Amino acid sequence: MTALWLIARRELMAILRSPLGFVVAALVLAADGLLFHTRALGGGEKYSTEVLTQFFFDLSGLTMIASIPLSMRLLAGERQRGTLTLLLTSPIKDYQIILGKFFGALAFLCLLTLLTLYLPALIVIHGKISIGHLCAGYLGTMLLGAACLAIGIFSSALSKSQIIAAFLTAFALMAMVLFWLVAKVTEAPLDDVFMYLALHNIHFETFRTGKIHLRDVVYYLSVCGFFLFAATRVLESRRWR
Amino acid sequence: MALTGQRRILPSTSGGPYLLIAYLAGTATVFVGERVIGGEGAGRWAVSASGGVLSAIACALWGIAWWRSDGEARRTERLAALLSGAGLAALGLYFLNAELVAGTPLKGGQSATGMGLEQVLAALWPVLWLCAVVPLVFVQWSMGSMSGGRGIEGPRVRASAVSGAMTAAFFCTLFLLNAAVNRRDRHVDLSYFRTAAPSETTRELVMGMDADTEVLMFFPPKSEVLSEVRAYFSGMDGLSTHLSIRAIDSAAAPQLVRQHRVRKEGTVVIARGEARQRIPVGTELSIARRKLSRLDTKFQEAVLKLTAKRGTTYFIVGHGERSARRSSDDTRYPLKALKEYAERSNLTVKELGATDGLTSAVPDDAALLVWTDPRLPLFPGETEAVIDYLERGGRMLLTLDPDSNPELEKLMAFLGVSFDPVKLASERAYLPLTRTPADKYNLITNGFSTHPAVQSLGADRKHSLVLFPRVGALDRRPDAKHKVSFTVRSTSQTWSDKDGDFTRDEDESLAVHNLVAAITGRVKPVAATKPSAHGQAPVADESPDRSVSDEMRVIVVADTDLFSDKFLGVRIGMGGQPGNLKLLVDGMKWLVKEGSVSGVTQGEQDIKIAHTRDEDALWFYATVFGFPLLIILLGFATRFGRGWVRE
Repeated sequence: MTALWLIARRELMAILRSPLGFVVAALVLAADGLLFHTRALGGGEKYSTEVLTQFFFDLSGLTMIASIPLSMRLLAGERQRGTLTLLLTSPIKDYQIILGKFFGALAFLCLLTLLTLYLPALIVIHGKISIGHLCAGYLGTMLLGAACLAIGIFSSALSKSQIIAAFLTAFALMAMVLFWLVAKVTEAPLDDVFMYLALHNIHFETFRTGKIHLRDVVYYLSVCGFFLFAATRVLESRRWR
Repeated sequence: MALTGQRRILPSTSGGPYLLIAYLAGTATVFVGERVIGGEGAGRWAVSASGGVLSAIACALWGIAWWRSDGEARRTERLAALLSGAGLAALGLYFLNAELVAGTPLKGGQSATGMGLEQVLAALWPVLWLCAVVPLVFVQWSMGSMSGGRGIEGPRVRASAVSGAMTAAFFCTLFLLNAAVNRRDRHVDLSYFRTAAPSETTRELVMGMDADTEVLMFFPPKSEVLSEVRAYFSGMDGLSTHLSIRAIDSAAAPQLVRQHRVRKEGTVVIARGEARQRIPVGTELSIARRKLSRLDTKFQEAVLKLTAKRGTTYFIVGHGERSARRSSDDTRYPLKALKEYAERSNLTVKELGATDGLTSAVPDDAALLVWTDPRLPLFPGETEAVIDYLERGGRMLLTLDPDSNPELEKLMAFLGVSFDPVKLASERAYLPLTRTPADKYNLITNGFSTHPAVQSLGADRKHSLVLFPRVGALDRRPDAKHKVSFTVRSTSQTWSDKDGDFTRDEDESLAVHNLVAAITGRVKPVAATKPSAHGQAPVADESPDRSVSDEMRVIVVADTDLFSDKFLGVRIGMGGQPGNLKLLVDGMKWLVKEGSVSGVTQGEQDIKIAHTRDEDALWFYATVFGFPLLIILLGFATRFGRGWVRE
């Protein structure tokens, strides 16, 4: 486990010290602020619950987008720099590499998400919202971000270049978000399966309205678990390919 | 294909990918036949059968390769053949479960957990198929990398099969876990305006039901709003055998829709015999949330309308009383909320003055008289009419005010209380509303008795506070004929501010003062019937359906502002509900028949945020540009700072 946390810490520090980290953070925060003022608060008088719900909707989209540049470099970047072989030949297990990199990137993503707290503070001052609603929304955003990062790491493990990894991640995320549309054109029982697999539509909706469903927490953790497991298998496949 | 070659040639090392493609294409064809074409026609049969045959041929060719090869290759081909065979067996299980082959679905008896053979097969075949096909793909992927004359490396192939099997098993485990959790989902609502839960009053209403009442929820089966509404009504499970609750899919039951005259989905109907009340909620959760937060209030109102006998609350007028609306010549806080509360409690609200016959008698349908902050005394005859009504078991809420103080000697003598209009002040127990010395008149207290007229306040004294803005004091007259109980008292740090200077002088001693009195008296026996003053038939006093009751009940309050729109909903401290509202609800419950007025429910509403960029320009620029710029600067400082440190 020590190796895992060492890798996680190293990864977090690498993101914090690289231009990528603070440029991504600044862009996301600027976009968050802009969307908050134009979409959440804009358009006349709104109930405070509506403003908060819209804020979490926008925040979730930006978190998904932010997860792409953060995850693309995790393994594909190492491969491009030629340091992956060094990592793979070190006395560290494959799952420790994957989990370490995942937790490092996730820590940064959580930090980035929590930095936006000053925006809903405005609603607290002007309206009526509960701290529980805020917690539920942020929990959902972090779970969604974790799922996106896991998908990104899987794509990064498959790709030799960071650009391809980014495209693969974007494509996979888009496909999983749009599953709810596929559900509309398929029949039972596949419609239920696709609707359930959709990354955002049903599962995030509850969080942003202040509710925590066990179903949604398990879903996001399952997506994380599956793609991290798959990424580990991809790394391991060098032994039998 | 290498199948026709020599025995030692590795047949599927070169042909394996094609066999795999054929195998997967066959499975995909079965999927098209079953899911895309479907139905009972020959087309489904033909396509599904051809797909199955194609997969079977690929499986057979792997089998032949296994038979014809030897050594490491033989073990590898055997693995591929067995895996493809397991995939075919999974398809067989699917067909066994499908109506196409079985004619009717396998019913196989439900177990105690609700799982029958049909459900077991439905879950088993995809798991088996996935655990066969994924390792097969991995094996072929691994073998593909060994082509080119290097020969088969058995351990590597078997490692790929294990890897594939683990991936499939992990996926299946997660899938089944999600299916189980989805089936038994639990959730917690942390939002500020969450769906209401049945209040204590609602539960009492339901427990007191004496006739069959049905709650019908007309919602689409998968509606999220339905699950919210269902959660609310599940809080009433088992409270009464007379209450039944069920969800109705409008599309599946058009007769019920017509019968209950439901105009659109997302409606809750409460039916009792032929009478119905409808609560429109909506089907879009985002829109329905505000209605859901008031569902308890709406349900109470609906049940009261169905169950309670409508009485009339008469607001006495014509003596400078405080009205529901503020007027230019009356700057006192209006009492609109009080009037609305009476209406919401299933009481018809009417005004009663001299022109309505008050000088002769109070109408027979009067369930309650309300007299709020009069400035003038009653006209001749009116006092007698009110006293006569009370003596016959009438109910009355009388709110006085130190700023008005009319001449009410005769009525007060009858009630057995006196009113001292000198304002009470306190150095400690007051609410600073204006931050001026006059705030000392805004008394707060939790000095409640155990009288039923303050039942819920008395039960939660620790968390309930009542605000009395500018209040006088009540006292019992020595010659009181009725039972007078003081239900609310001030704190001991209160004095009568006789000179009105907001400071306690030597002659103004600290004491506990009575703020609210509950008066009860026996009904005066009257043998003869008396004619009604309103042209109705004579009403006998002993008639069981008359509005007046067997006991006179009167509440006298030494302040009217506490029930005004400004202060009725005011929250003080940590109380879950405003204390002033609780005082009104408790009092009304005691005055009118308990259970026929609505209780305290979630009354708070969300507020709209009017926030524009012009108003908060600084905040806008700070959030859109300032904070991100700060992050950039911080990043540069971190990056170049380390460089400077090294230098």
